[in-house]
Amino acid sequence: MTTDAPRVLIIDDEREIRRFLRISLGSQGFAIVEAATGREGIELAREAAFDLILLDLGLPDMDGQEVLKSLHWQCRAPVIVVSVREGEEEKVAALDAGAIDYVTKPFGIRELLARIRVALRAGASVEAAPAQVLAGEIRIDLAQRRVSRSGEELHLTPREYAFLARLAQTPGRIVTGRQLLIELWGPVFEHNTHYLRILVSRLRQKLGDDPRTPSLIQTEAGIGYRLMVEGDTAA
Amino acid sequence: MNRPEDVQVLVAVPGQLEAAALIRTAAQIARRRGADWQAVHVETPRRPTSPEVLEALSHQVAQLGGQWCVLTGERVSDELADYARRSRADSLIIGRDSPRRWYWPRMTGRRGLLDAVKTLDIVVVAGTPAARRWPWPRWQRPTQHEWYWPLGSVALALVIAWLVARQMDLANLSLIFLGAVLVTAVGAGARAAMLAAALSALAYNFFFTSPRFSLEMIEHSELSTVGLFLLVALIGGQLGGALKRRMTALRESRHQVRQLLTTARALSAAPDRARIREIIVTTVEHDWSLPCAFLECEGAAVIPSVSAAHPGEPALEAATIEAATWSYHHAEPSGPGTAMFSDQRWRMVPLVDASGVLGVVAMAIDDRRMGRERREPALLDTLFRLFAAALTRVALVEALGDARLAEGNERLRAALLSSVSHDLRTPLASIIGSASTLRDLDDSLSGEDRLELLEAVLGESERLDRYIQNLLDMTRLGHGLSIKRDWVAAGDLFEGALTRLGRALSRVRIVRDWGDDLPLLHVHAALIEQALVNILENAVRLSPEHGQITLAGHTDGDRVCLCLHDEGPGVPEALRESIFERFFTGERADVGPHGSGLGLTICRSMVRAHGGEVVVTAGPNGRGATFIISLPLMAPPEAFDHDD
Repeated sequence: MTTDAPRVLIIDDEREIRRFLRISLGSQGFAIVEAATGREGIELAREAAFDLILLDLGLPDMDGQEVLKSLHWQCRAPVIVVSVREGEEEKVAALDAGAIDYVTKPFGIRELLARIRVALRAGASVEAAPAQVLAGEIRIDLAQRRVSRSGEELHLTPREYAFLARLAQTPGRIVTGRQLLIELWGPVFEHNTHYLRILVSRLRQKLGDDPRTPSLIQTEAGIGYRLMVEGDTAA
Repeated sequence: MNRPEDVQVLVAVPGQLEAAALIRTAAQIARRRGADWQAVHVETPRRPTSPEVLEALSHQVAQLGGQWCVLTGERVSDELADYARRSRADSLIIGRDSPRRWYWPRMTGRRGLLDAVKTLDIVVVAGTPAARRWPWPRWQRPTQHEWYWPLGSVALALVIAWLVARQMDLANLSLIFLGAVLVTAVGAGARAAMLAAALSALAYNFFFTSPRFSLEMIEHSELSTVGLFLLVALIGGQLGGALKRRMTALRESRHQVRQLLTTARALSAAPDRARIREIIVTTVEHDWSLPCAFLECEGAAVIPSVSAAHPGEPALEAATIEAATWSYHHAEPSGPGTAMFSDQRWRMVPLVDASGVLGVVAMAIDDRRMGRERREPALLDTLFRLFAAALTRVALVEALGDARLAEGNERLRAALLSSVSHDLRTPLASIIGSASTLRDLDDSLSGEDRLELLEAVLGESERLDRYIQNLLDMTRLGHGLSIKRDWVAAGDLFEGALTRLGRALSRVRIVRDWGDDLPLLHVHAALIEQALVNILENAVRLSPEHGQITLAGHTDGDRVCLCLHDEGPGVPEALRESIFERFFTGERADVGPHGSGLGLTICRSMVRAHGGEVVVTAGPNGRGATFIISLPLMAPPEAFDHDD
């Protein structure tokens, strides 16, 4: 996090949405820049560095998914998609295209602020991938490829470790099931989502995570998984 | 040989047309068991089956939904056993009364079926009563032709022979009579020629052989001349008659082909079932001289009823209806010339395709007459296949149409749902966001911020209310809105729309540019006002801060145009039509300019309901957009002129 106010770019064609975001985020110490069209947003993102981008998918001049792709190419700022589209395919497509999170309209301001905090942290950690990640009693040592629970080392299969490490690289951020299947099994297994379900249930058992109210590996139904961290990532 | 898949029932079919009954029984058994079935015919090299018979049988099998297979081998039972094993069939059906004894496969013994495939059920089906032959037609009385031709030609021959008798040899005179017989044969057929031959022989004998003017004959040579003449005349007469028959047949077959073509053309052009039924009954009545009715089961009815008839609806007896019902449910013909109900006057022929019975054609047959239906049964059969094919085609077309309609409705529903959810959620997102900010972040908000957020909640709530109004309008439009026209000034409509938008207009500059000379409009005021509200709201939403929106009006020929210019981003040329249709084309509700979902669609519906049109073009100087609502100009009522 930079010392001065984090800069947030809002790309949304709805003036009323921009207005309330400007007021609410402004009151929390963010510096807000607004864009009403996709082209304008891309232009602004190219000219100046932002700490975060909030992007609507239904834009007058181009589809938000397209905007997302060109943003992904040209700037490192994390993007949270804010849209009325609630279909799983839309969410997965946006996350696969590089969005860090997805918030469905309408939403309460507290939810959005929480997601923004996570995204800002994740954005910061992209630059220097953490060597160690702490999640509850679990310590994931990415440098030494070790996982321990309350100091006691856990024995994970290579694939279980790969799964956990992949989530730990981007703590708090959703990784889509498709992405995980391709990285861990290969592109042919893109649709075998039951592999993931089996792997996650075994992993939760080993980590001591209650599958009914998981506090470590959170399932985003139909979309993917994220690792919940306590807030501090040790470098 | 192709390997059959999933065949459970086999039927062994002998190579006679009578096997049709066996095939029908097998199809019924398979249908009852819900099994697939296959008809197998074994051809032995010693007794090849005629290709016509095989063709007819395979057609019937296909019609009843079975597969057809011809095997070649020395022994019927060996081939059947082998095939049953390979196809893993579980039952084999054999007819009890196969007309040729040899076709009965050996059942027991070293090479018998029972021992060869132990897992196979063998079902022996009882014979159906053989179709009764058509009753013999009665003796047909000779026509007048058949009297006049022989009498005339023989008389003529007698006169000529009398005149030339002096110059000619007696034997040569017989040639003249022979000529008369041949002429009669060609002119009136073989029966008349026989009569002519007999008359000629008598006349020849009476007038020319000695003793003349008596039927007695003395000379052996003369006797043999007359005998020889009679023989040659009879043969010649038959040949001539055959020629005549062939000529007639040729003419008739040309006539048939033409009739068949005409019928086929009419059937292929028929748009629906009703028209096809009509063609069926008129064709049978007209071309075959048989009073005809078409019967079908409507809905879930079990007993078929007459749905078309020619000439006029016949009064069918209970027994006739029973015969029709039997034919309908057994998919077999009944009535004269068949095994069932053969004492009835009506012959019932079911029209069958793979899906079942499409209907029954009933024909009133006069069995004392050698009608065309008895001379050309194959042609009649072809005709019925044409009918069945036409009915199937129409049924398929109807099914396709239904499916398309259902799909269209489904798409429309999906588009409506996504549009509604977008339209309702967008203002709700601002309301919930603003309200939750007011509650959760109260400490860090300035007084001005609070006011602005409350303003947003209020404005968006009003917008939500307008959307709901739109939805209600949409429903009303769907249920056939009644338009209550009245005379109204265009200015009043503009002002009404502006008033309804109220607070939402605060961020733009409205220019009222319509003149007082605009003619009165004869419209349903509330609807046109709503159309204006919808495009006005769109324009406000897309206008820059303090942008200008100009409302204007003018007449253009026989139309009144209401125009609205804005300074927003404008509408790209490619989208100028689709923004009004978006909802119907199933596009995403939230993409593109003027993303108001239903708003513009409703606007267009309302204007079109008045016989008008709404279009969008580039604004003046290419900036922004111009929406033009054009409505037909109508002459104001008389009273207005008098008041002026």
